[in-house]
Amino acid sequence: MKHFWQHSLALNVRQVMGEAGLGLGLAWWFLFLLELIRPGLVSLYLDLNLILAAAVVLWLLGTPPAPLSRPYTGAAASAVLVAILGLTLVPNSAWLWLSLPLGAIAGLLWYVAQQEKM
Amino acid sequence: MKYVWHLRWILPAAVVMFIAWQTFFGTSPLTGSTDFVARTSLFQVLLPAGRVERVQPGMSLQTEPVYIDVRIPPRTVQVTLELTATPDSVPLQLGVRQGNGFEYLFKGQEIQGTGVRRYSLRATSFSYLEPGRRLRFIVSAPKLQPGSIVITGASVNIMRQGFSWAWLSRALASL
Repeated sequence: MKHFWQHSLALNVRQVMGEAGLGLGLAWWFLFLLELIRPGLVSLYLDLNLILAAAVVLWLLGTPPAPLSRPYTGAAASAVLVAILGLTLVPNSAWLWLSLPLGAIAGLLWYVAQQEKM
Repeated sequence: MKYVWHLRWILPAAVVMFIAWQTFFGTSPLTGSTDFVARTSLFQVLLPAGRVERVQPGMSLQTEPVYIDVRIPPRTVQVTLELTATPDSVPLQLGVRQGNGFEYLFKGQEIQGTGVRRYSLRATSFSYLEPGRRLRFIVSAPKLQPGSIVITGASVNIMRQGFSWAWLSRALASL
C-alpha cells in the first residue's frame, strides 16, 4: 500500500531530475561553444566536466532507458555511473572520496524514483 | 510543479548570466592551486613536460628554464604566483614575460616558509600575453643540477578591477 505522497514525491523527483539534466545538457553545449570560441571564457569560472557529468547523470535518472528502469539494476547502474564519471572526469583525491557517497545517493534517488512503477 | 518544465531553459539562462556577470562585472579574486596531480583550468604548469620528472611529492627539474602559463580573465590588475619547493632545493629565480623574445623580468622573491622554500612573484603589467590570454612565468636556476630542485606546489591569486566604460571600449577595440 503506497501513500499519495510516495507517488507524488517519486514523480516529482524524477520530473525535476529529468528537466534539470536536460537544462544542464543544453547549458553545457552552449558553454562548450563559448569556450571553443574564446578559451578561458567559461573554464575560468565553471568546471565544464562537472556540468556534463551532472547533466548526464540527472538526465539518465529522470528519463531512464528501458533496461535500467528496474529499481535495483537502475540504482546500481546509477551509483556506478556517478562514481565512474567522477573518477574519469575529475581525477583528484577529493573527488575519489566524494564520488562514492554521491554514487550511493544517486542510486538511492533512482530507487525512490522507480518505486512508483511497482 | 508546472514551473518544472521551464527548468530546461532556466538553467542555461542562469549559467549564461553567471558567465556574463563574471566577464563584465565580477571582482572576486580567482584562486587556484595545484600539487601537479589535480588539474586546474587557471594555469598550465612546468612546461615543457620533458624538462621535469614526477617525484613524490612534486616535480623535479631536470633542465631549466621551465615555464608556467596563467590564463588571466578580463579586467585583471594583479596576478600573484607562489611556488613551494623542498627545503633542500637550490635557490631558483622566478620571472614574468614582458615582451616578444626572451624578455623576462626576474622579480620573484623568496619568502619565509616553515619547512619549505617559498617564492612569490606579483605581476601588475600585462603588456605582453601569450595566445589565449596567458601570462607566462619562468622558473630559472643557473646552478641547477638534474634533480636539485623539487617543486611541490604552485598557487595563483588573480585580482580584478571593477567594470568601467574605458575597459569596455578597449576590449571592443581589440576584437
